[in-house]
Amino acid sequence: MKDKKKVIKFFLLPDYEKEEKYLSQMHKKGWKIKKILPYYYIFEKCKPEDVVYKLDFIEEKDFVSYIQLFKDYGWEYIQDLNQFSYFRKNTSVTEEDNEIFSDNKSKINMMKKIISRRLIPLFVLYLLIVIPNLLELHTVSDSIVLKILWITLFIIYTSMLTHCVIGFIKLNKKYKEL
Amino acid sequence: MKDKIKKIYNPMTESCFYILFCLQEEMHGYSISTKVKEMTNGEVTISPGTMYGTLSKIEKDGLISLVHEENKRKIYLITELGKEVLNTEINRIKRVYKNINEGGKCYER
Repeated sequence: MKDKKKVIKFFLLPDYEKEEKYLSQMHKKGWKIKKILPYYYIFEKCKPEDVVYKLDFIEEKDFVSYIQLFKDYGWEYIQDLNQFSYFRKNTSVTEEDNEIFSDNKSKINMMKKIISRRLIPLFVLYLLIVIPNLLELHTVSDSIVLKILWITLFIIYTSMLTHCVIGFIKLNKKYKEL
Repeated sequence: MKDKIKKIYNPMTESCFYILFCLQEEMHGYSISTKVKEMTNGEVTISPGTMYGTLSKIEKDGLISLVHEENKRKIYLITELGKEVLNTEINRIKRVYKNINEGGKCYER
């Protein structure tokens, strides 16, 4: 019997709520997250349980007191990845104990921070480097392989950005309606 | 600068109000949460993400200051500016409350 499972999953910037749900579903199936690398998840076998997973996004934090505060509320700290902090906790019967944000404003603040610190830099990179390079492609190189490679990268980058923009628009709508 | 901050916090969120109100005494995040639950018979909850975010923000804006650290927990206390902001908010709430009691037809007592 294998007691480890490795999964590649593409959760992008606005997909943190989907990622929370995914980790929770895996735990319910008896797979507990052990280590998260970019787009790569390592699970270990465990007893199937109802566990809530939550992600927080804070750039500057005093690590020790930050984790202690969550611990006081009963949250287990798992790890950080790209300034996202991962927490989990046994699902409580009290609905509000399963949340890390008690008001909508906090949720909107987190989303705004992700947009300004992560999405906007990607956009700037796109406008200043990716697009100019694509426009000059015909003049610079004769190699067809290089051209195909650039165009493929361009398509991937563009679809990732589009996915992010649409995702954040949906999240924003959801938070405003709550 | 001071006036700008006063404007931002008038009005403030309910979580922010209770946190500031509790910090008239020295407290850390989780103890504030417990006290708020007690004060409001469990009707107001402040979750850890909201607590950390609010504490960081009002510390940065100078409404509270770090007194010391105890067992990895940060203990805060309200500042003079914080007291001014809190008083403005209390007066606003009192005014709202007074008007509700005096006039509102749709409000059933």
